[in-house]
Amino acid sequence: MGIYKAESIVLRSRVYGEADRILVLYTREAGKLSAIAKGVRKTTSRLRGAVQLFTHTHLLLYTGKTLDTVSQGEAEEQFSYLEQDLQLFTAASYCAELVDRLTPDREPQPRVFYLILSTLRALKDGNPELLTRIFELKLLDILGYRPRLNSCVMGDHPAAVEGAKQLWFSIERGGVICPACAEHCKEAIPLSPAALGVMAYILRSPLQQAVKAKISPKILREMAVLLQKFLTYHGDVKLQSRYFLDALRDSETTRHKKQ
Amino acid sequence: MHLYPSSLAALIEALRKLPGIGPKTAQRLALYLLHAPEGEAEGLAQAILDAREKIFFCSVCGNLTDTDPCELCRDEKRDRSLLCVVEWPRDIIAFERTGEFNGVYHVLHGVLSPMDGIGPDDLKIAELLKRVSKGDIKEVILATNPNVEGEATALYLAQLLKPIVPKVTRIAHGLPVGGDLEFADTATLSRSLLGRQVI
Repeated sequence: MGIYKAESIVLRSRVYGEADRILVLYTREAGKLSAIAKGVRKTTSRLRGAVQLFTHTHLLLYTGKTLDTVSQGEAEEQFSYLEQDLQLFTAASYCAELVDRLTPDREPQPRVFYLILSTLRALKDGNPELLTRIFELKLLDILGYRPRLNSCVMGDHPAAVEGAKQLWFSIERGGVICPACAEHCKEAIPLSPAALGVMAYILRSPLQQAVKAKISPKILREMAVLLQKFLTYHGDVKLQSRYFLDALRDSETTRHKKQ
Repeated sequence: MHLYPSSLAALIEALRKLPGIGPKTAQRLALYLLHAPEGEAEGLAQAILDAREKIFFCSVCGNLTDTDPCELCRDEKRDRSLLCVVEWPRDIIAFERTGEFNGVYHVLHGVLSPMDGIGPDDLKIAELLKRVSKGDIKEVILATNPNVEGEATALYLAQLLKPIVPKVTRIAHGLPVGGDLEFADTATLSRSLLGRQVI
């Protein structure tokens, strides 16, 4: 491929050798790829600003034997608010880790690129917990794991779900189950119609609109547990940042209760 | 690696594990050590064993040391009311080289990084708070690296420290000495404007 340009978001960055960093980028043109940025830990590096974590940046790369090398870069957007709040920082880390673990290398998927970008932007004023749920659902949708929410996955009867007070969900089958079918399904777990409604709303609305929704902490918690199971089963991933995300949320909740 | 006798092959294998050493360099180093002047290989082996045995982390600041507390913590001439928080022991060396700082240090041994599974409990934050809560520290300087993880860590620490320390400061951000405005990124440039000084 020689020299190529890539509009990228830096998902991960780790120290390599003396002054280099190995980056995991999500690019609009080529999907996820790893690249080495040489000398960026030195204060004299001209590239440094363009390859910081979570930066939206325009890069010029050249193909290498194993890793591509970043040769020039200019930062387009830096999301400095992520540094100022541990919860936002953790939420951004979680989203980045999710993309890193779930997407294959070098498969262009511009929708994933724009999803990451709009999530990082929305974290500025949006509720980080709701945003991580939106991110999970939309990423699953783009990658082809969209949970089926409009009709029962056991049989093809769309109306059965409507009006039910208590629904069921099968992680393995990837969707909702109506009360009648749930009796024949061992792995069905309970799901409230409210949580189902929120998930369906998120999937059909643009992110900028979905993030404005007012969702009760109880429903958010229910969705968090469900999506976590869904991701573990279908994506086969256990994320490092998940633990901190939950720990932070729980410490926030207890702090609010005390006040 | 059947081409070498087993003890030499073991040496090559051991050297290969060192950072920055590939298979060819490992072979070259191993062959050099075989023919090195009297005492040199033994000296190296002994130096490795000594360092491994004698070096540990200072119980006060977390720096690498062979005495406890470390030399910097014992130094009577240093200002103990001024505490500089850094990520790694090598950052202390960087500050000491400037000769400008006369306070004491606290090493976090890392930086917050959720993706790598490093949270507040994995850093020496509890030790820092305990040290500061004794009350004789007047200023804490947060000297983590000026990147996303370093900033997030500094701001997190600032929230914890502000209620218990009179003054919490962050090292300045701006243009590097010998740098060029044209190539400065927007974040650095805007911070250098925010942190401008009267001359």
